[in-house]
Amino acid sequence: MPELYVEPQTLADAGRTLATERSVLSDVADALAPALGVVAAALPGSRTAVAAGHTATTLTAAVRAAAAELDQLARTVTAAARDYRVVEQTTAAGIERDGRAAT
Amino acid sequence: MTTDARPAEQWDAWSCGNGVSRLFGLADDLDRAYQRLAVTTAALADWRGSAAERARDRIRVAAARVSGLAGLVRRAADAIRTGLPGIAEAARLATAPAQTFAEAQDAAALAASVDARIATGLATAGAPPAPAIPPRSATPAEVARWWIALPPHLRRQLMDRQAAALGRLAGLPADVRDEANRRQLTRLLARLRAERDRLAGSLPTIPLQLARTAIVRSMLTIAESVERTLAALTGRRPPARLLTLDLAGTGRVAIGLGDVDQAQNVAVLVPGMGDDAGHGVPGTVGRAVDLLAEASRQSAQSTAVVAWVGYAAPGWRQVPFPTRARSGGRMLTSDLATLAAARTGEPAHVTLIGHSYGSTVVGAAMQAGPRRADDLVLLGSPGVLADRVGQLGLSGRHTYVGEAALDPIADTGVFGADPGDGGFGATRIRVDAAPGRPWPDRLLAAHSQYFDPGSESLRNIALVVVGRGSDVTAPGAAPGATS
Repeated sequence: MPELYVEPQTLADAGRTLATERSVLSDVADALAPALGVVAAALPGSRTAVAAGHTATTLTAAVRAAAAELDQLARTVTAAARDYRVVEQTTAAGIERDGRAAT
Repeated sequence: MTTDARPAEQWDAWSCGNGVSRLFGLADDLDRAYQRLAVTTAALADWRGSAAERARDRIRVAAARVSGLAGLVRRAADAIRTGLPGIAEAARLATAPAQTFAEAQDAAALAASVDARIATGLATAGAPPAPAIPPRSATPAEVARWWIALPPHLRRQLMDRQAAALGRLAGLPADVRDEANRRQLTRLLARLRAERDRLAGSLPTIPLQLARTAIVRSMLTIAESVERTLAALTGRRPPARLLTLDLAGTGRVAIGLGDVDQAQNVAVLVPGMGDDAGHGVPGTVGRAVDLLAEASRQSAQSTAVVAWVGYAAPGWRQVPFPTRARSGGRMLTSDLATLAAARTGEPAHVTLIGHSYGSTVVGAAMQAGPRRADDLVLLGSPGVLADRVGQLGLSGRHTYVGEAALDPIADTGVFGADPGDGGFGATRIRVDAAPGRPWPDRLLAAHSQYFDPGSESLRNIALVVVGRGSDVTAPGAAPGATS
């Protein structure tokens, strides 16, 4: 069996961080349009107001896409942590069983 | 161009500024998310195998993407922020009563121009950032805008690979220049010490080698002086920032105490004869520390003090001539423009404090370019290259002169009229030494007692720095209550 070189706990922590940052990005995506909306509302009849609307749409979509990527990564890394932990526990149990059998 | 001013009547710069603040806040959130993702990637460095490599690559790419988004949001915010003064002015003009037709047209043109500039800035905010360091021809304001738009992962890359260039770049925030200059200082110290040891091991025989030894010794003197000064300031609040580090020639060093980018009041101390970068750093910084402490006692406003050892201060041979004051004045003007460009909020109330020949440098700076200071304090001045206060671009109510009674330099008027003379038009301040200073010392050191802690002199200087110039005491008046 190849060595893992990583503590399953480290992977689990990484998965949690990724999930947290996904949540941060979702919050940012939710807040972008209102912030740019304040700008647009403050400058009625201006080209800036129109441009702010476009910018809000573009940036919100980009942040949501990044959040989706982090979400997927969080799931993958968390699943890997779980799998590695199972391998570790199974291996430890096997070694203990073999040891008992040998004595 | 449109002549319809009506939309601008309803523009609200204050609300617009609120939206901009929220956008900068969101960019900060993305910055921090990027930093945490970068830490997470580093924590997985020991994970081996093909799955590990793929996962790390994807997290790294995702982190860079978040960093890029931070840059985009910040750039959009900055595009609007730079137009805020124009928006306020356009709104003011559009609502001003009793306009002529021509004025109304001008107001409409201004509104349209500001509007177009911001809209274009927003439209181009999505373009990829320029990762290369701006050319030397870039203005501090252009550099400041470039840095604002740069995603954090590219900022980090530049700091790791080109700290020396970043440290020299006028217009960057003070904490960025500080980090870059400190890294450069560490590198230079190691290199110069190795070179000194190498040269010490060989007998310098040819002129080139002798010259090389002298250069290394001079650069090391400055670098070690800065190293010692910063070490002495470690752990201090507010922290010290190494704003300028240049070891070439006579060297240039500037150390800021306090947040020069945000503080309401910024004072710049300019030392005089003998206080070049090799000899004047600890003393000038010490005076800056004492001044900051006194300013904090006199006002609750935030204050920062810069110990500016940024020109080739003269020795005995050069001091009779104004050449170094003029070149120093140009450098001071340039550094003041740098400080102004890096500010993110309101402009600071800026006070230039020149001691001895440093006051001549201040005089030269005030006549070298656009006005960069709100108040001047000239101490023990041999002249400021002017005959009247008006030539400095400020009124007598904003130009303060301190001359200790026994100061042999003040009153000489070597470089223009004596600023302490009534005809010059400045405001004289009382500059008594600290009560504890012994009399013989007062006689011998009259030219260097202006910054004594606990003195009437330091109190008056601090009052000017915090914008309370009307509270200073005049010579002959009863001393003010030192808090």
